[in-house]
Amino acid sequence: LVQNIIKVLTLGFFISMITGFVLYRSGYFDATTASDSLQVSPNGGELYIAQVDQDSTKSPQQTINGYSRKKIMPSTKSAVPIFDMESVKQDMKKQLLPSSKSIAPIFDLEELNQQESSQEILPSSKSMTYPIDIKPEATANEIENEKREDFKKQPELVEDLDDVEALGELPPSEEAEMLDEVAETIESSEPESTHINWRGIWIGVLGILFVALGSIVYFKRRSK
Amino acid sequence: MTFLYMLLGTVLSFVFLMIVFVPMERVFPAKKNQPFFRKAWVLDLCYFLGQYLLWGSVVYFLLSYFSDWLTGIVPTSFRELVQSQPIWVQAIEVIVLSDLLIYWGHRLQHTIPFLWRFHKVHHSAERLDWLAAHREHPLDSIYTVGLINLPMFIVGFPMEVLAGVIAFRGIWAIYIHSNVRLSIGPLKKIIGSPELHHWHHHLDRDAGNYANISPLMDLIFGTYVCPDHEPEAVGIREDFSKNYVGQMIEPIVGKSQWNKFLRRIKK
Repeated sequence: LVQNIIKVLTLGFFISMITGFVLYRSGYFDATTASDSLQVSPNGGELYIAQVDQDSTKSPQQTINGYSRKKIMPSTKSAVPIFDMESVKQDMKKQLLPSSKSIAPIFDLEELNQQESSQEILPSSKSMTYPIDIKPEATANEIENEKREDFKKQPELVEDLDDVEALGELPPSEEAEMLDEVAETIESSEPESTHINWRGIWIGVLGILFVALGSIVYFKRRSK
Repeated sequence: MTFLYMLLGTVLSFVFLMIVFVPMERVFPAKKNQPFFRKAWVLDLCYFLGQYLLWGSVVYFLLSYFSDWLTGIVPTSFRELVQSQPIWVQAIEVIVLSDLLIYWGHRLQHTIPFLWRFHKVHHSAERLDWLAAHREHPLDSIYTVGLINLPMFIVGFPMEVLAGVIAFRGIWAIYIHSNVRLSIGPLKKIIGSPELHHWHHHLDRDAGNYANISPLMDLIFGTYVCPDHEPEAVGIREDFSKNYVGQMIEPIVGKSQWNKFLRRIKK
């Protein structure tokens, strides 16, 4: 009996882990409000971000000159690319000081387009960590394109900075303060990812119960 | 920092796989006496690390490169037609097409000597478990993964709707190599299992069971093999390098050249 219980538990655990992994890779545990479809994102984060962030100017996850999308082994554990504030500050200094026109992060649209057009591929049949990119034809990308168009229509970010004649003329302390403020603004505008997907959890719990019950029946019949 | 993140991801993946597969290998063992740190465990760990930290990126880059010109083969109108189908229809189409391609691609790997040179790296494992599944030559990976992706590149199946299928295929490929024997009854004719794939790793080069996710192709093409016991030995009959560097280089330069090189070093 004890052996059977161990077998049932092991099998239940195995099946629930596999199911969890598959659901995770399908993007099911991303607490998205924009879509109820099962497969929101192939790599557990990218498409979700594209759908949820309504304002790309406030989204640190969108590419800001290449440094916001740090794909830390995008797969098993990390759902959201990490935003490295230190590199943001450093890069901002580099990018903003020469132009002295804007303290807002500059979106490199060409780069965004290039990233988007990258093909979807599986690097290895057994790899769990590499990203699966989305095709440009995908609906979510169309949404992203629309957002990009919307972004182009927003001149406020630049206008606000016209008051500052040149960042280079500011004393270093003020300049650093300003950069910190920008960094804070971006940091605080990160979309909340703490929403709990209760529906997913319930389905998971029911799934495990179902598997456990099924396994008990299976082993009982087998032992008879 | 990127490398550190990669390293972290690799470690987490390793731990995750260990948590998933080790209990199964303990409770339902195929070879009861096989220890966790079995022979060539370190070699397979090298393959695991190599795949996650180095070769994965190379394969990714190459596939990106080739996919660009494969995508344009089929007219956009046809791709749109494919994508307009219900998700479950697309999922079935992808599984069947990929399985068909992998089946024949895999069979060719066992038949054509040039392809076998690379594929025998995978078959050189003399103990099978979840870690041994990662023993693959990178060029062999490009070949296999290229075949898996071919329907998506050419026909244009959207990857996001098939993410579940892709994830399942990946982890199942590890499972069928694990040291597990768990009968799934008549289901074993629909879904691949370790008991079938272990026979594929039998010492004979044409041992059968070439399919991956489902043995249907083996049943159709007459290569389905399912004895009621585990094979006594797995691996290859040929003489082959036993270390990581040798197994990486020997398939590329050929056996005679590699042996010459070794002799020079010894002198």
